[in-house]
Amino acid sequence: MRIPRHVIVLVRSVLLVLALLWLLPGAYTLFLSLRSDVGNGFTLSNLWAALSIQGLGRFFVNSLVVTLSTVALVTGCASLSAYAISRLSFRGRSLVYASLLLTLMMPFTALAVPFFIINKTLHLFNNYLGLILPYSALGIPFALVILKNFFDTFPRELEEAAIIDGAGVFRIFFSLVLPNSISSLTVVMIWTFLNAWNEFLLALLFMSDNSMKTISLAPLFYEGVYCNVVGRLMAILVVISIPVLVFYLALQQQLEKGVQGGALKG
Amino acid sequence: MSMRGLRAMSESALGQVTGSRQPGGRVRRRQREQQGVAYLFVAPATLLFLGFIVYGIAYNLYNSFQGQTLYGKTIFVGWLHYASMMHDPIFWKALYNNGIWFVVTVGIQTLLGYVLALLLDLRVLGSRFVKFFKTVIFAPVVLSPVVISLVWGHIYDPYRGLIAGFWHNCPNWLGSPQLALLSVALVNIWQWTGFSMLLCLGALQDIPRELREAAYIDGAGYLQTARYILLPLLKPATATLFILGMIGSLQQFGLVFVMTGGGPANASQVLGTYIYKKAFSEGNFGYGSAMSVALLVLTLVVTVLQLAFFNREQGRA
Repeated sequence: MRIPRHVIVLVRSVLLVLALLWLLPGAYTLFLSLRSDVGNGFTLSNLWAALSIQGLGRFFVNSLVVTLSTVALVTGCASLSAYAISRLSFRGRSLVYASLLLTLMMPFTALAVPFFIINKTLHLFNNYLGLILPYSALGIPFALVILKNFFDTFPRELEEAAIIDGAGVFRIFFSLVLPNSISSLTVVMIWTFLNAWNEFLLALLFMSDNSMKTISLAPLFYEGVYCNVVGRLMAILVVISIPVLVFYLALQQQLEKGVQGGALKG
Repeated sequence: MSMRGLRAMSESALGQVTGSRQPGGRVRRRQREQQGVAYLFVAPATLLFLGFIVYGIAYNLYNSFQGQTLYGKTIFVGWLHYASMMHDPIFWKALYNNGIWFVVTVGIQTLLGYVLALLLDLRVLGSRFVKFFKTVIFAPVVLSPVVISLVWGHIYDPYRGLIAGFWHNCPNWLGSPQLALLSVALVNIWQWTGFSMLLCLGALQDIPRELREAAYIDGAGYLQTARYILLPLLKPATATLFILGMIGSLQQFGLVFVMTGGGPANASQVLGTYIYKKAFSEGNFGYGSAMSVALLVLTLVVTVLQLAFFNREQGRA
């Protein structure tokens, strides 16, 4: 089918306008953070101040600890169980898979009350584990689906060859299957990372101590302090978002793969 | 003789040479070992699942029949919370708002995402333009809902916001009962359209190009091709989007909580924010649990219904 040139130009311009419209909130935030509080000029002072602001480093480190532990726990648990479900025969296999999948449909908000009680009983308020454990429990199903689908397509011949060479299940899993699953593991890690990094409700409930707050609580924390200094607040939002945006631009392709491959074939 | 027959013969010969009396014995032992390893492998995930999800649901059920006295003691109150839920207009308002949220966000995100994906799929825009466009539209997905809420809160500000800068006396987007929920839903659409677009684009790229060519050769126009060839093949992607969108709608919390707090006067209250308000702001955990049970049951029912619907459609196509 041939598409006339003027139609292509028209479609391009419409999409360009749409893209600019999509960028507008970001541009507006940047504009507010650069605008000088006095007069009409622009200044970097808000951004500099945001970079060295009290507490932000701590929030960042807290988020890193929680998020990286969640990623490790989810990737570990999900790859082990995905491999067992995909390749090993055991009684109750489909029951395990079905019930883990059911978690995929659990709304976070409906489990907030019991998680609150669990953490209260175990004294896990203002403790990294209080977030790591529920994030992992809720994060495993998505990882499981992606990894199981990948293991299902893993060539059996390779494993059979390893069996003939005398390798046991552990060796096959750790030195044959895992090293060949890097691309799927990356997809899983990136999505788990993003979900844990941006999670808000449970962090709000369990991290009341300022020294334990995660980065997703930082905007509200500073909003309370700088509610009347818009430029300062917006500068903080810019500084908070830059690492995530850099992360996004660096790993965009794996993220897209997560959307297109994993979700669809689940 | 077939290859398989050959192999069977040589195997039985090998068995005789090595002198194993029970040909099945080693296989069975291997299977038993495998079973043990398998349980070891699924144990960590299953433990987390039992400890948090199963226990969580069970605790919600138990707790929804409990109430608290003035002195903090817990007592059994029977169906009290469920009865008051049935007569709580704000609960029904929140449920209704969740429904509106689902229809508006998933409807527009899917439609817009599909139109954009179909345009990108034409392959006439140049790969650099497509990459730029995808990067921009998908970017909000990675941002924190709290950051997004604060930025959009300033955009919507009726006195010094971005919109007010162009449009004097513009409506109070987040402060008016008619507009609050829709204004927040618009932010959700801004955040998630890129996700629908990429999911649909992925599905379109899985459809062989020959199918489109064949349709054009048969004289079908672009719209006919899209309607009769492409859309039916996009059903699995649509089903995924609807189910993900439904779960996302039912667990909506961050955007509403930060931008309106459910207000004004509960106009934008959704179940997530209302559970938070009842359980954590007012300390009525029993009532919060009862609403959580309702939310879980609702999620389950709607998911099953959607799966059944899309499977039937699939069978028909």
